[in-house]
Amino acid sequence: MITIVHVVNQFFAGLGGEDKAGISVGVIEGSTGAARGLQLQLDEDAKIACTIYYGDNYFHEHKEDAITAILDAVRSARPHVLVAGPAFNSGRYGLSCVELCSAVADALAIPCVTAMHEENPGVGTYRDFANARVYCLPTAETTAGMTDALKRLAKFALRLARDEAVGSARREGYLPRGIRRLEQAERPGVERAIEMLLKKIKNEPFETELPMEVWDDAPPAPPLDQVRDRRLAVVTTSGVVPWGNPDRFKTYRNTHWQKYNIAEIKELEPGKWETVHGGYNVVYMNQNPHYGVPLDALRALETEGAIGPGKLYPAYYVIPGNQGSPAVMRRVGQEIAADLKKDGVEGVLFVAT
Amino acid sequence: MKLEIAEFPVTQIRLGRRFSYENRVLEVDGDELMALVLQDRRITDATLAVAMPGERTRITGIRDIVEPRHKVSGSGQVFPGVLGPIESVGDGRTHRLSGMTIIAAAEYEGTIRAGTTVQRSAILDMSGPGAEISRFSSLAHLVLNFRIVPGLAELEAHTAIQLAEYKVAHRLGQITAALSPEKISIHDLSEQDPTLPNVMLLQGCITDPQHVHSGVGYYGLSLRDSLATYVHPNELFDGAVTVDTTRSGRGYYPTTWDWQNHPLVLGLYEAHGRSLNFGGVILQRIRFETNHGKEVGAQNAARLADAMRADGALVTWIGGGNAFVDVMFTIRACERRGIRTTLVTYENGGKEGKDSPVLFYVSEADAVVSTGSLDRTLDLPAMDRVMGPYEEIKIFPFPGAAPVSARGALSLEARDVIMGGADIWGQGAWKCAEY
Amino acid sequence: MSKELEKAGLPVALVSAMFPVAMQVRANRIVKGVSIPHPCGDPSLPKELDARLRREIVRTALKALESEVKGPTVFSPPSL
Repeated sequence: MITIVHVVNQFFAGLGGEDKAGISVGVIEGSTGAARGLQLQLDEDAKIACTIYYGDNYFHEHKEDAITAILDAVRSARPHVLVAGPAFNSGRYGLSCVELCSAVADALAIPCVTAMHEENPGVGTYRDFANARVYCLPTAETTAGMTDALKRLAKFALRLARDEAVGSARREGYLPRGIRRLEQAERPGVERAIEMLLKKIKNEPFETELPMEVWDDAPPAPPLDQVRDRRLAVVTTSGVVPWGNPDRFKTYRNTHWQKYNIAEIKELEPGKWETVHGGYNVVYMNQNPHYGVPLDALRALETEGAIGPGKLYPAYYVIPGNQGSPAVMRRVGQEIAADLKKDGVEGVLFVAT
Repeated sequence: MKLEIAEFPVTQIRLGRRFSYENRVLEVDGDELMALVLQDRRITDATLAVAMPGERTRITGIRDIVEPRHKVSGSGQVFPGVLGPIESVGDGRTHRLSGMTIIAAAEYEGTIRAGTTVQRSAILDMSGPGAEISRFSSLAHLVLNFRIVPGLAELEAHTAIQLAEYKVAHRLGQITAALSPEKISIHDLSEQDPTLPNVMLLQGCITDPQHVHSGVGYYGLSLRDSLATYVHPNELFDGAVTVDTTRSGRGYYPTTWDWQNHPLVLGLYEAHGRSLNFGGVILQRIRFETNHGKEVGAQNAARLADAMRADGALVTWIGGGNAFVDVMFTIRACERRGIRTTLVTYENGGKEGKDSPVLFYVSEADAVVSTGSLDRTLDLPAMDRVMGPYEEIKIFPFPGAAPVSARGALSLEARDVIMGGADIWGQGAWKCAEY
Repeated sequence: MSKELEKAGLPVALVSAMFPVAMQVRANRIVKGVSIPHPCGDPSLPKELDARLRREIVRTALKALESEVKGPTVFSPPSL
């Protein structure tokens, strides 16, 4: 018998509205509230072992505790699949559904499915997590779409429970997580391209196979006051390293970073440094590493007082950036940031090639 | 300009004592081919071998792949400006031995340590997961494995390798000179139907300023910081566009074979007169090194397409990295001129497909065909036989990389070390779908 | 990568020749570099002018670090 756990917020558990948004995690055996609707849709095909609920506010204010409690409850119930929501256009609820699903999927390797309106802020987080075990189905904006959402959640949950292969987002109707998988289409690329172009020329509808990505805004860090009094460091992806490449950087797809001493050095002598990078013409950088690590200019500015004495960090940081996976670069950025802050660095000169 | 391509399919290659083609079996005189190749004193040693689809064979040190062809009539000869004289090609009749290739494999380490010119060679498995992803594993190959004089600079090494493989390719093509083909296909763009849209192929070509041979040759001349230029697609069939063999050995670069059998050119020819008019090919140099260069190059290519009365353009490219910015700028420039575009490209995206599939976007690039990802890991099994110069290979190209046995199982981070590892121009049905 | 530094509270002056790419990924303080293979200088200039250009680029970076910005902003060294 397929077992399912359904996680809902206090409202959909039938325990109250905003007034009860602070209640902590609780477990009710069998199905209650919206879970009863889900059990109806599941019919004889599966049993909801328990309904887990939490207050919307409680979850976000005590996230670690909430998730721990939910994990414990799910662990005890040992379901084949977990269902959370549907959250429709409720932002707090949608976000918590995505977060708890991700936690359950990672900690317990249980597939999860949730549902919400495609403009729910939870969807952004869902795409960021890009967790291959967590699916989100689109719903209507309001609870008017409840029956439909539960019907589709039930169907999808059963498929996951049965370990059936799930196809692409477009084919199966779930919201894409941004995980792109390699597969064979029905026709060669050439044919698909000519067909797509002709549709575009004739103003007929077509669908791109590579949707465009939108990058998040990163709020700017506040500016430095009196930059000459600030500790500054150089970080570069140009691939300038000491001659001999002592730390074995590759010409592409590096996963580690290094910092190299420039403490007593006034300028980078050619012959003592080389450039490891497969993505650009390194001839210039090899002849003059200052194009990537402008030490001569920094020392000159130190002499003239634009940079304070001892304010230039005594090492520069490098990772050759060719074909670096964004996930790796993100981690490297976090690690370098931590290292810089540990040593009191306040601003960065980042040279990219 | 009308070109007839006469096809002689090959299903078996035999190393023997004479040259013959009969019942789709090609026999080659090994000694004569060796003598031909060794005429060039830069080549010190050469061997021939045959690799067939399905065999548990791995070929290493691959620099280029070329299809045997020979012009029996019309102006010029194949590989003009390299092997043939500098004479316009693309008309008359050209014979091709289809279903087979010549693989040029050579040991060469190069004199440059890093950067974009670090010489690359790649491998090809004739069976197993490595074969499944490559368009070359279903063809029969005559593997030309040679050694060149040590210490040659890149241009000399390249010339020696390329001349050898093209001489052999031409010699084999000549076997069919007096024979009747199984099939003749006609390539002629002179009839244009005014009710159909005009479509150009906008082919981005990455060229490397660091090197004496830029990476793309046209009648043997390196394309450098050139502005876009029109070429007739028939010229590609006759080998007018060629590669730098010291650097074409990688999964996301075209080989000579790919230029001779350009799938988008063949597809547009197929559609010519039916759903569109094929207006020809624009060779566009990409990877300008400043934003300024990229913008001028892009707008110039769009202006040329406009002058050719294009209603639409299939856009594709060669290379990786920031050359893609040139491609995106070109799409934007075309769309702003009312030329509709569709881009054909492979993706990156990391091992799990969670990273950005491409480097850069413009909002006008709303019609893209994905030919799959280069970035997937691949585990190749051990093979029974290794051909080519290397018993050990380096799967990471960096100064100081440790080599591994070529015969054994290989764990690849990505597909760029496999010839045909990326479906660069949409010949196959690979794509990425979003999950 | 530079965005992670910024998320940690460190202002970053990003020197890059490909400022459209930098703007697209939403780097906030972007300093125009000369060219992809040599962002901080120009090898076609005589040595002293190349060094002077480099100082100018670094000065522009310092200015960027001192500037309040609302979103991706390109700072152009006067000679570029």
